[in-house]
Amino acid sequence: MIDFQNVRKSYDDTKVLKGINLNIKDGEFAVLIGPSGCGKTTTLKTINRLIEPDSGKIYIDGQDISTFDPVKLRRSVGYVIQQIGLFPNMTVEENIGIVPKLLKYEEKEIDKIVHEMLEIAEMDYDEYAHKYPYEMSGGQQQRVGVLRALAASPPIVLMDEPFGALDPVTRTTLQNEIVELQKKLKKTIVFVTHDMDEAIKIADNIVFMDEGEIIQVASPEEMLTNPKNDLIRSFMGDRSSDIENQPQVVDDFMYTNISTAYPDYSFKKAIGLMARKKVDTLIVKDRDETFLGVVMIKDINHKLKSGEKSTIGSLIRTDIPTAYSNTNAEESFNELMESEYDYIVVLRANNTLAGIVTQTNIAKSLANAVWGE
Amino acid sequence: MSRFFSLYGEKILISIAQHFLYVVSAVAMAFVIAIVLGVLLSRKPSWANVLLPILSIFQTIPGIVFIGVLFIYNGMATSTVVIALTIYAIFPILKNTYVGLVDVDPALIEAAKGCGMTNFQTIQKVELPLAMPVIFSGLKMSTVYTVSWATLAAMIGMGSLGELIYSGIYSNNNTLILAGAIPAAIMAIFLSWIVDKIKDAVLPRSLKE
Ligand SMILES: Nc1ncnc2c1ncn2[C@@H]1O[C@H](COP(=O)(O)OP(=O)(O)OP(=O)(O)O)[C@@H](O)[C@H]1O
Ligand SMILES: [Mg+2]
Repeated sequence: MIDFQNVRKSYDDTKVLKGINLNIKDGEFAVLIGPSGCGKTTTLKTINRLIEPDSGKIYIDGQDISTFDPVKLRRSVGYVIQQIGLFPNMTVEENIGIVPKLLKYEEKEIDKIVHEMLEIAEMDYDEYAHKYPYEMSGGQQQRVGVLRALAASPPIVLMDEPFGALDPVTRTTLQNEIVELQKKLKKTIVFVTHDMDEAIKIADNIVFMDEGEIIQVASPEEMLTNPKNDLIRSFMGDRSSDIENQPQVVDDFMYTNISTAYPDYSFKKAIGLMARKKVDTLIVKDRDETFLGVVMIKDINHKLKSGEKSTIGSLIRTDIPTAYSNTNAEESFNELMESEYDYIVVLRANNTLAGIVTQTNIAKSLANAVWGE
Repeated sequence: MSRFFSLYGEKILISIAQHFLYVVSAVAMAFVIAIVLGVLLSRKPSWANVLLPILSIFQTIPGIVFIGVLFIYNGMATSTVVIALTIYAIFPILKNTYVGLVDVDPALIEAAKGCGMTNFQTIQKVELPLAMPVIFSGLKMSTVYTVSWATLAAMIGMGSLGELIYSGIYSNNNTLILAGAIPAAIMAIFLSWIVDKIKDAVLPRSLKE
């Protein structure tokens, strides 16, 4: 965990950081964004003490970093800079191995790490290890820049506009790769960008800064729906209004083509239906279409094992979350996120079945709202 | 001609050897001193901006004046020659070391710091290697100059190819002059070729033009 407590920094009379308070959790992908000169880079560099605050404290896992040896601190925090920053006098292998080497790992160990790292980026060792940075494309160089930051397995990685210099296609690819990498390696990443698309795409939390202050910290969805001020709204561009034009009640999201069953179906009949429709749950309704609940394949199988033969009526689960079709979408999303089921049953006012909304529905609709069709 | 060689042959060989040793020892010492000073100056560009112009003026003092003054204090000794040559050889290397170092992209220095390099490691692993191409051209210049400055050793009776040249001039013996001048010219070409070879061997391919 990284904890900023009232961190201030001035150059001469210019206040660059005006009391930063920020908490970044372990495994969080935090993205700092804001207008040019708002203090993003300064904030980032206080974490590895390339910049020392005038006042305030920064804690990593509860320890005040001003008490650390800055050199040791930097060896345990990965750092990727915008201009790629690979050392031109070193090969890919030497660049990736530099921090382990500074940490005095054995040659064999370093060699192993370099192999592993190149593998992560799906770069062939024999082809790339002995190349110099100038012999590679910008995208490849920046991949190596990221690998260098990861080589000594730091729990925290700082990235200052790492993809800023890349063409849009390469940029998108690297964004996807870094998100995947973070999921896999569970790093805490602090990432600076001035590109809101990038922030929305990769962030767990977006930290919006302006003139040395944090204006808003929120998830991408939250910042899209509730930007705190006009500046943030303008950074969001048309996206905030997009989401307002998007379906706002569950009705607009739901699937109506669903597999239903009546409570008097035998186990065998229900299983046959599930097999044909390739589902593992059936929505059970009454003959008059009233929603009753759901049955799940695992419950049926359980009963079958114990040799019982009966109808599914006895296995109906009623704890599945439900929503009326005019419910505010956001509300039902929250319910869905917290539920152990991966869908919500949508009901009409008279408790008849209207459809279901799945997590995939939501993800897709949100993606459309955020990134366009 | 053969009479000339039987008369001067040994003298020529000794002079070449002497000359060569003066040059190589002076340039080698100058190289080390210049690198150290260059690194120090690059930490304090404000000092460098004062010091480098002063040194370049100093460089225009004729070598013979300096070697003469040193002769007064230090006497007729190999050290007098080598010290004088070293001091002259420092400047071209120093200037290029300084320029090469301050030209290193600050982003790379920051990347080095960000990786957890100490100041010394940053200089050793990043700044100096990146400045090397420029430093080598200073070294080459300095080597060529020193070959010609080393002729001054003869002025204080310390041999070198200069001895052949000056005695040739006094005795109006053109062959003797050439016997000093031609080996000196060849030595200058040879040593700058050597510097190029060392440069090729030392620099990674990314830093060769
Ligand atoms: N060494 C310095 N001396 C004086 N002012 C500085 C220094 N470093 C940064 N600043 C100023 O501090 C402010 C914040 O700089 P910082 O680099 O943190 O901004 P940023 O948000 O990263 O901007 P950008 O998006 O342009 O990279 C800027 O106004 C900058 O001019
Ligand atoms: Mg910046």
